[in-house]
Amino acid sequence: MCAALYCPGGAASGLRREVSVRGGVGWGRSEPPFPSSGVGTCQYSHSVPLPPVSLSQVAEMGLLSDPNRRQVLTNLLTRMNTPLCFMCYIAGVSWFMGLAFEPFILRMYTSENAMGSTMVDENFVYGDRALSYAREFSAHGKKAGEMPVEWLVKTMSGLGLETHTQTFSRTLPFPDEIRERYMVKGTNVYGILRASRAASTESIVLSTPVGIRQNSQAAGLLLALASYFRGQIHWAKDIIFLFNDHDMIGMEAWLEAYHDVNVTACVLCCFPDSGLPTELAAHGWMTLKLISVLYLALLLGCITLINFSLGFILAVTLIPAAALAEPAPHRTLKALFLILMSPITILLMCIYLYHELAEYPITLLECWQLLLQAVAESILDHHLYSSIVYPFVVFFIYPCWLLLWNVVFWN
Amino acid sequence: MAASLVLVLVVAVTVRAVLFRSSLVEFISERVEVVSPLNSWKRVVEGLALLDLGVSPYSGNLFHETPLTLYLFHFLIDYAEFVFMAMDVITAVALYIVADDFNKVVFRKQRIAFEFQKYAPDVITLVRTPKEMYHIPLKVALFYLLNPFTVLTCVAKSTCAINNAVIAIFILATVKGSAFLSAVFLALAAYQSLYPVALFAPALLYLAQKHYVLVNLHSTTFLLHLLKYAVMFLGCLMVIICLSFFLLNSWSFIPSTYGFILSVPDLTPNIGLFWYFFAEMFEHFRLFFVCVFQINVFFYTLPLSVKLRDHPMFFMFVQLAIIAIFKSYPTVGDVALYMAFLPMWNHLYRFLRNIFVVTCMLISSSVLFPVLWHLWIYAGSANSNFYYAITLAFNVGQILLVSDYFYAYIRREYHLIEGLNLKSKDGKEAHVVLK
Repeated sequence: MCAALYCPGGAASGLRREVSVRGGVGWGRSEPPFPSSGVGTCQYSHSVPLPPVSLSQVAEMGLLSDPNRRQVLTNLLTRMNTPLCFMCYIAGVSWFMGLAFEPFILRMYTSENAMGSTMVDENFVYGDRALSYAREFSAHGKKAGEMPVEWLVKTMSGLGLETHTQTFSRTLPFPDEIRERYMVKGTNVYGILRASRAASTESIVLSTPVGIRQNSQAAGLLLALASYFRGQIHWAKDIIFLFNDHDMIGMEAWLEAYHDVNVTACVLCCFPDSGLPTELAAHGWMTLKLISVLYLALLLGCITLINFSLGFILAVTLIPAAALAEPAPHRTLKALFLILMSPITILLMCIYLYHELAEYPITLLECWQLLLQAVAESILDHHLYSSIVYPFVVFFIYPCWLLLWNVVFWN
Repeated sequence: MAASLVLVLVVAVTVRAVLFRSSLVEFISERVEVVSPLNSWKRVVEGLALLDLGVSPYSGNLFHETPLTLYLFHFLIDYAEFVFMAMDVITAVALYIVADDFNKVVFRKQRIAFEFQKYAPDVITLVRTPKEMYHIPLKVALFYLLNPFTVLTCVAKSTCAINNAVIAIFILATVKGSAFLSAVFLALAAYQSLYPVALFAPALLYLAQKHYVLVNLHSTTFLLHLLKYAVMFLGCLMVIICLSFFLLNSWSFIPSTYGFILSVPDLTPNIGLFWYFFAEMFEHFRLFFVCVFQINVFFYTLPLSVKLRDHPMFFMFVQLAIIAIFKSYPTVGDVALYMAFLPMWNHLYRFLRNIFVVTCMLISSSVLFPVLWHLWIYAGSANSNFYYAITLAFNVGQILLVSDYFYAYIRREYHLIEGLNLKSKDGKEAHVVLK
């Protein structure tokens, strides 16, 4: 590699005088460079000339290393900063809205390249049977209170499945609005359709939740499917038809018992956010804003990959707030905007908007109660099934919001 | 200074002890970024179990550690956590002493350069002062111990920690000038993971500089020095390999360790560049590409030794980085070792050009590794291309980091000789540009 001396002003004739110096540290100097019509080289006597670089390398090195080109690029970006930000934001939001348009979405989409559509024979015609099962299920369900355990056991044994029940109980950290008790007890009912010639090491589980939501049509369909599957003979794996009580809690209890593990003890341990950097430059708030914006970008990128809606909602609301966070003019306005864009306010507004759009408007007090219920549910979800939404928002998004708040109130 | 070092050691050991007792241990032990088939703790336990049963541990094609490591853990299996914490402590202390000694060498060279008036008159801002260099050894130890990569490697009980400790002691022996000890530990490091053979060249150059031997291929003193060091290194290596033979009474460890490292049969994803390539390649070309990739690790040694022959410590750093980037099964522990050297080159900050881009690339790819892994393996909505993209971004970031520091180092040396305010022929101010 050689270091070249450029004269940015250029010689009078417009030629660029290039004196390339090869080698690095030599203990002596050779003769001074002799300029020919354009290019001259001078060599230090002790070093070895290195092989010439290829064209792509020159192009790549030029982009990252040529200070003139870098300066031009940086100036361009700095000048066009605000229009670029606006354009990116509007492009992102309209791209998301465009997902609702016909050419971009497919109302029904099957992705199974092994299944050609011409090779499918429709054989399941027992929709009426499913509806009758559903009516019986809801009738018995209302009678038994929550889950018609005996009726399910009787029906599935009558179909010829190996039927079992599983009772479970979970202690919640606090009683929530829906269940209103500390201990949740339930019963799962499941029937196993054994494959005749397979070792029962693996099975397919078809399940429907019972209890929280009256889902009798799904339960009826599952029973009708069970009776239809029972009539087929060439099954390669066992099939388990599971009716789980209390939705996810029952499902988790059943899976834990099936796999013989205990996952409720394993709570996702979240690292709290690292402290603010202590050494800040003279324009301290700029450094803080840079760090918080980069941190926000990284967070939003990661969470969007895992949970797109959460990432999108956070992005749409927090990015304008972050872009506008400055201590300078209209401090109170910016602070108000930041409060408006904080996750909890967004949740409140989303609940209100949802109920408005569903044409079931609610009062402010009801909205507040629903907000508290939503927060309690997310804490419960984290405690029960290690859902990451609550710890993510509290441990990662809120520190970012606090950093932006610090930027706005910098003195 | 010793008190601060002890404080840092206590904090580091506490962090590791707390993490050892937390529920994250299993999660970290199976992360592919932290453990590889070569240094996974599960495989060590498997090998020990096979040894206890009287079966050769290498018969199952699962165990790829060397016999010495096997026997080390045979006796220390109950204290495994202490062993790994002790290895981290040893590495940090060794690097501390290395940085301290190297500072003294730097001062001596600078003083000699001033006395012989080798420097240009206006380079007073480039010259290194004791005040600026006082905290460098502590920063080096801090960078190593509190680096999240190192903590993860220790908590996962990956034997990369032992490799790092041996390499750190080898560098310490080199810096102290003892050719024999340096050869012994280099032989141990090369025996353990093969690639530290490339560190022979910087160690040789450093020892030559320390013993005032002029580096010139035509001088007999230098050739004698080279021969002495090579004979010591090869002799120690032979002794260790023969010892391993007598430990298990068979040569089967050689295809399982060195054969495995060189022929890359296991294509589990990691943070390296090999796995995706060889997963997509036709069998016909496999040997050719294995040779190309392996030569790539050792290829840079010769040009670098010519260019950096007067700066062997920087050469050591660049060589460690190249090994960590291009080896066949890299893990974050290898990355942590060369990153510990970065505080030694703090004075190059003003010449670094891409440090912001590099930092952002490294941090974001490190955070995206587990996310894309989750999406690929558990959610099923991504595939190996996504993960390899992050791997590529991480490695490109590392390469940019190394080349940026290299450029800054060369540029500072140039400015020391030529002066800071460069004027061209017609008196106008000139810029120095990498071409």
